[in-house]
Amino acid sequence: MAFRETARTVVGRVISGAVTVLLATFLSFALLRVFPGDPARTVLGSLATPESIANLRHEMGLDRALPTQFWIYIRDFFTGDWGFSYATGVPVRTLMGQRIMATVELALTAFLLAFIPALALALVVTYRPRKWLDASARGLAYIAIGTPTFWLALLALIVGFVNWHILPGPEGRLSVDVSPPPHITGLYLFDSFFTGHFATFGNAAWHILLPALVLAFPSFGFMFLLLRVNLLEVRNEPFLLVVRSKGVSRWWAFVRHALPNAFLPTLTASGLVLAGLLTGTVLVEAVFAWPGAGALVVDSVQRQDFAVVQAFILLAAVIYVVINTLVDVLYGIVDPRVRLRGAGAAA
Amino acid sequence: MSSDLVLEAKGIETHFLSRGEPVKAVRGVSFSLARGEKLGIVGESGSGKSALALTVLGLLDPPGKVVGGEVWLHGRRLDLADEREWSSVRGRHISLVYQDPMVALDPVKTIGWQIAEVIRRHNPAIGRAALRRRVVELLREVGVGDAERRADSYPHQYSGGMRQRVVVAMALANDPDVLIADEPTTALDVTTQAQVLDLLDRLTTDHGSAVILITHNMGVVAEFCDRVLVMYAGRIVEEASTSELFAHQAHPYTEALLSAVMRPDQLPRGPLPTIPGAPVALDALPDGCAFAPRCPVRQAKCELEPPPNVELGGLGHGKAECHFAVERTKAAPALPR
Repeated sequence: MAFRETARTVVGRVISGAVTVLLATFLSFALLRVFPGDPARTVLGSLATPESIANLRHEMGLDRALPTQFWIYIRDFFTGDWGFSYATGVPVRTLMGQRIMATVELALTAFLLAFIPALALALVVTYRPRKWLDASARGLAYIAIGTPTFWLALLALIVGFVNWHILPGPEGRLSVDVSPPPHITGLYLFDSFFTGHFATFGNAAWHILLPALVLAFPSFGFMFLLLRVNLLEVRNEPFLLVVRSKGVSRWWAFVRHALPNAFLPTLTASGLVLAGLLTGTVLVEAVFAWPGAGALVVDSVQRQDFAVVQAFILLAAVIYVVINTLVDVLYGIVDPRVRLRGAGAAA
Repeated sequence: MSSDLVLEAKGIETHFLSRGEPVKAVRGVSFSLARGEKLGIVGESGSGKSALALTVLGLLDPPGKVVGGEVWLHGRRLDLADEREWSSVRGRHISLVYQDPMVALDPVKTIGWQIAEVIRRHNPAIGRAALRRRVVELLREVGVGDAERRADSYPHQYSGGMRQRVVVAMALANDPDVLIADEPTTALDVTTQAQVLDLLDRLTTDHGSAVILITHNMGVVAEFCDRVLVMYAGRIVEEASTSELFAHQAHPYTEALLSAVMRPDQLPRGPLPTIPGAPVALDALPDGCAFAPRCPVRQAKCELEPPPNVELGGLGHGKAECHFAVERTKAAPALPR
């Protein structure tokens, strides 16, 4: 019964997710048709003759009716044909494929660097009320949320690399004399660790530290504030008193009972944060010369390489929708009140 | 100390510290509890009943603070214990039945898990199968039908009465010496109240647990308790066996409390009987008797001098804290002996 309930929820979420992606597709399609600049002219250069431009437009399908163009566009996106980069002539999918795992690695690392300290700090601050500690932690969180990423990135580079010489400069994922680990997932930290290339692992960790920290900082502030509020709310729930009256220590009652209850409302936000990190690496990648999808997008915008930008926008939409759908489904698994809604009523 | 004495509280002082004057919720309360005894603590809201219960359980959180007194359990002094020692006692020797079953259980853990938690806490060596058996057995004992399956349900799948049965099961899981029930039936409807009270009565007798029943309901006291403490403004103003107390009230407050109880066969016409005035502010206590401002029989001396604690054993009653306790008791009609 519960299983059918879950299955129905999942199907509903997937359908609404698909609709969202379709809308995003339409938006990205429309936006690029509205922007000034003709891709055919970009490809052929300013000296091309009107005939050759018209030929290329025909070849690219730009002379067809807009609905037809839209249909072809969607079909091609989902069958994996994301077009060619006008600037380099390489298929967009190949370009993205080379870059995306660097972004994923950066975003996941940043997520952990944001989430774990946020959780630890929220637990410490709410476990026993200590006004000065709480006030300082909140101050830090507001600073974290308010600090512009590109500024923080430059500052971190100046301090860590230029002044102290303890961290690498903007040279990407590895030092120039270190070769990448064997390819398994494309995540250097993972691949190097599990193939036993510990020197490479160390070098990759050393390189990812600064960009990930910079990227994580605002998310850390956001998640700390959220966890703090939820923990404060749960902390005064009577069931914690009952748990303690059973002989469970105050700390265990807090960790085993207050935390899971406080964590549930944070799940949605965590999903949004992760999606935001995956799609929001653009500035940090630019500053640290991180060879990820964000840096690719910056280059492509400058080169008016629309196919790449378009693919990135769509990819971002899909990432958001997929993560949110996963979070919704996860709710059904984690929270018994959602999982069993409608199934087996109270006696 | 008699071996029959399970719990002893001596001169408990519990304050709530806030800005300004501390709120003196419990002001020098002493009582003792014999093995298997059922003791009632009655009083209005704000008389310090719950603060006293939390003090005895060592669960008082800031801004509450125990500023004086001693708690003894089986000759072991608890009020000086650290959190580790306290937590080895709670759930094993002293347990709690919380007043509102709707909020007493963790919403994201199964019923069975939550009962198992208290067993495992005090018996870490217990095996999985034995633990499961014990949980199901407890659920059956408190009258949860289809216990095997219902152990895997979550609190929101239980009704209020069923949840309170679960809370009772958790409180009795380790056969505690003392069970503190803080208004265990106020949040339930009347028919469920009677069932839960009946269950509590029967099971605490079976498990050999003494009970401290905190309530403002005199009907519940009459049905359940062997002995009663009446609390007013943080002090015990009268103490007597249940039969003594219902026959005669040495303290005017107790008398007022009882006259406010309604009997379905004798419903009054006109306004319902109440105790006039509001309970005294616990951060601005008067010099004399705390009940004096509301007392229908007060005299000049009541507002000037704190009343003595009068032993009325010779008169066939307990104790009372009133200037006129002796006179009132002597004037009372013959007490049932």
